Amino acid sequence: MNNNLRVLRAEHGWSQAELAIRLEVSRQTVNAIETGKYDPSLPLAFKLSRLFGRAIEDMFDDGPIGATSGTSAVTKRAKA
Amino acid sequence: MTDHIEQTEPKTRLGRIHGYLHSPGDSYQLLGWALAWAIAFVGASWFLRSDPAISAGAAWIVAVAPNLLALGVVVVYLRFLRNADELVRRIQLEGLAVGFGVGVVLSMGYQLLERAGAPELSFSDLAAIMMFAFVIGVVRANRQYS
Repeated sequence: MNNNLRVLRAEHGWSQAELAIRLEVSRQTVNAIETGKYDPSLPLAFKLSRLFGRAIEDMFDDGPIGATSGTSAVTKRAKA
Repeated sequence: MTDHIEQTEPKTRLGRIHGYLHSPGDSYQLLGWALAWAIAFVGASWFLRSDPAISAGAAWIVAVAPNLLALGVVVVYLRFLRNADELVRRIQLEGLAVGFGVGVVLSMGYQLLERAGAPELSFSDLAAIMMFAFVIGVVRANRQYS
């Protein structure tokens, strides 16, 4: 899943390690999410949303509009 | 804003490989216990095979001691998993799946091979292969998510 986590992190001037501390996860997890190799769980997605003050669908994108009715998988789980 | 953040970027190569900022102590404890167990196991095996002039009771103590360390490894590993974050747990799960899968395939399938003439494998040989497969699984999963 695509995301703009790296951009948001840079806007706050945080390193991956600092973001990991704030999220209470490992730096490996932060890196894996940023590179799109790992999709966070719903609780972690909500933590990210609260930390950056952005909606989940503003941070994550699981494909072009129309391919998944314009709603990311993370948001679908959140609304369920 | 970041002044109060404790800089816990891993300084050692092992720390960087793991990336465990929240529970690096758990990783090192696990490694320590596992090494202690491995050394005790090899030492006890070598000692007992050398047919030492000791009583049966003493031989039992030497044989049981590594198993107590093994129990310690299990306890520390459980604590490690409980403190680990979601990605680390997923990686460990994939490693356990590979180790368990290899163990099942080996234990069931190799019986047939033994009957066909393959050399006998002891239980500790099988356990060693399972542990090796687990490590391979963890390394592979780590690379997948790095």
